[in-house]
Amino acid sequence: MILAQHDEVWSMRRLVNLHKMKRPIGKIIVNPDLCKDCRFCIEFCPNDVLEESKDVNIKGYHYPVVKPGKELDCVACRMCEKVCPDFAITVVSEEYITYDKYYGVSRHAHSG
Amino acid sequence: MPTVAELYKKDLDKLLRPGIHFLDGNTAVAEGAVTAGCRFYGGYPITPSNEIAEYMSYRLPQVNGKFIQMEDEIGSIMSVLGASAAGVKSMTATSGPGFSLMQEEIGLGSMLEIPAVIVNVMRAGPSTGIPTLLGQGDILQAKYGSHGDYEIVAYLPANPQEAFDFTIKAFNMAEKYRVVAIVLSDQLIGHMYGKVRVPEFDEIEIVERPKPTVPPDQYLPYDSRYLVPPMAIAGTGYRANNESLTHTDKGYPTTDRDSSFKLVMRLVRKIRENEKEIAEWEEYLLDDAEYVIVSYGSTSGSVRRAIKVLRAQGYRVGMLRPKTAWPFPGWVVENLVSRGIQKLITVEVNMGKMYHVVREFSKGVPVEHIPYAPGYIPDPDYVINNVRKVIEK
Amino acid sequence: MSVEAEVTTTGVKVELPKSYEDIKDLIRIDRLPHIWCPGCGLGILLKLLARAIKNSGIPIEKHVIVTGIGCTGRLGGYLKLDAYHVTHGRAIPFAVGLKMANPELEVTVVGGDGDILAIGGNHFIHAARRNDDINVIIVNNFIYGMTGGQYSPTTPKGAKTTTSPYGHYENPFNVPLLAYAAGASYVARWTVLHQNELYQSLLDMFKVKGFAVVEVLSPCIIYTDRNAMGDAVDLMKVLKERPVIDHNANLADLEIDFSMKKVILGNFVKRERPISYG
Repeated sequence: MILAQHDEVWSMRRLVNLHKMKRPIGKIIVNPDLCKDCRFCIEFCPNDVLEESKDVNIKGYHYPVVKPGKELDCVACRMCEKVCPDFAITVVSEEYITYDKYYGVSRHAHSG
Repeated sequence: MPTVAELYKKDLDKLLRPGIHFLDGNTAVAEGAVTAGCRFYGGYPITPSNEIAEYMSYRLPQVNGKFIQMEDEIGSIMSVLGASAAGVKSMTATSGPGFSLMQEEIGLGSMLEIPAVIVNVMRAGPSTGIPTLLGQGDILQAKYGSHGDYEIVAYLPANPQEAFDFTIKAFNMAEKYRVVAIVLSDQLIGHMYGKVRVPEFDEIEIVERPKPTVPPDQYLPYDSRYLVPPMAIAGTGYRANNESLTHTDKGYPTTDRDSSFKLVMRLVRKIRENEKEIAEWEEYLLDDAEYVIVSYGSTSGSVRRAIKVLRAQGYRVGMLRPKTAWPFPGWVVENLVSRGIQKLITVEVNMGKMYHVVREFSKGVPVEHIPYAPGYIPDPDYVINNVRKVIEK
Repeated sequence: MSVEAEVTTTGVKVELPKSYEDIKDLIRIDRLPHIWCPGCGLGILLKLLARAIKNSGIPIEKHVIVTGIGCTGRLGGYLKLDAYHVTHGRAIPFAVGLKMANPELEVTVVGGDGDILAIGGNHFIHAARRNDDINVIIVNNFIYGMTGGQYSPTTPKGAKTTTSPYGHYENPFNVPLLAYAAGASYVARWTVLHQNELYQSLLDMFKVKGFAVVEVLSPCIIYTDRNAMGDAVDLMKVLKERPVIDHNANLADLEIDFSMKKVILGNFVKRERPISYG
């Protein structure tokens, strides 16, 4: 899923009822001490949400953290959890987010 | 102690009936195994042990057992260990070349502590040697063949009756101490017919492996509080991790120094602390002997005759015949030495195997070895002449 | 949200996430983190195998895992089942003995490409010939990982390993063809990235009455390191882009060469053959 730029979306068509369209949103939970910095989760996240942390765990490995500004971008596909060989990352998705909140616009939006 | 009559009640009419039979050594080994409760055989053909495999392939289905001829000797011994891990008493039979192949797995059986019985019908070596003639050259290999430290129990039958009895004893020792037990038969005994008396079923004692007494969540597969830990059978819910790597009590691999020392100590103490109960030997005219001949297996018959002649000629000679090669009854040799003897003589069909073991206990008393050509036992005249040469040296 | 929080034998405080609740009684959590390298596919296989065992429909007590020596051989030690870690290459005859003594057991052999196809090759083809009712998972990383990177029977021609520093000269095995020709009843090949298909294949493997072989292609940083392929994650990207799924592929085309341009995955063989010892 490729997130288009705001301008492209608004110039293409008129969107309505953004407050009713919702998608899952995930909260990423990492157990830093189990991570071995293999980068599978970073590589295979379809929305490119993760990056390596600056600090290290007790074994000296960098572990994944959410990229700043991308806290709302996780769609809880759980790909990171599936490819992790070490039980180090998981996704909790109890919430949904509506598109108006995600894009930060009002309930209706149109160009111009 | 349970007996065959109690444990194998349903099969009693299918076992070899008590009384006198006329069997060859290989058949006696197979019948002894079936009487002791062996219900799985995984083997590979090798002369002179083929008759054991052939007989077991015919006999085991009669007692609801299973037989398989595997692709090689290593597959044979591994299938025996696997069947034993699943709770069935198992056996394989082989000869020199196959026994050499099985050494790694004897170490595995000792480390995983899975009871198994291997029958080595020794033949002339080295290498392919003479497949159809006897040998006695595998004595040290039985104990020291595999790498690292471990202990086994090995029996030396000298006739078909002992082949029958010692196979039952081998199963009992394997189960009691969770070790690999070896029956060191040879081609002559294997193919020789002799009288075999099967005792009444309530006289044959059977030992079974110790069973766990605690529920699975408290069970430790290699519990070092016991010298012989209780063994959980595969598939009964104990979820034990059996490791060939050096392991802790829980079965987890470890490189820790104390755990490694503790494990190896316990593996060898199992047999070393029970030597005096396991070892058996025969003393022939030893009470006043000045010269002691140590021999075993097929050779002992020749030596017995030779001793009769030497005694008539005035030499005070006696024979110590170990019935268990391992543990070797070294204290008997030490007692004889401290009582006062002149020489120890080993007569074996090899270039010196039990000779070295006897030397370990001889404490300064000279030990001489009389070798003979692998393939043939020395006739009594040869023994007489050479023993006289040793005595008069 | 955690289900287990304890200090493991490695000194790390481990909490198994809630999504693993269904397999928490099958994983030896006190031994995590496991010893495998960063990026090793075996960690993923551990999770999938545990889940497949849980959902196989066969009571967990009847499952027995037999492993050989090598990195893959350590897998049994992380599963809370009756596990036997035996000598190199000899897991298959041990499994045959277990199954013959107690036919109710569900015996699974997990081994590497070197363990099962090199030293254990003889046992592999004979167990396939007899169609013994055991499951074999061959974890193929194209190299001998645990011992530092020597070549194995599946190392492609031209690969650099520690024992082939000028490039490997030998031809590799075509594993599904070998298994089929020897007589296996079920042959499949997947990678650790194709998780849903691999999971389904493992479930099918438990249901097969006969010799079932699942070849799992797995990244190994030893292999990538010796061949300047980058990291395990780069090999995983190759395993994502290149493979083609074709269940009806001709088995003779299944060889994997060094370029990995043609990698075919699928459930190739499923047939009825008589079992020798039922």
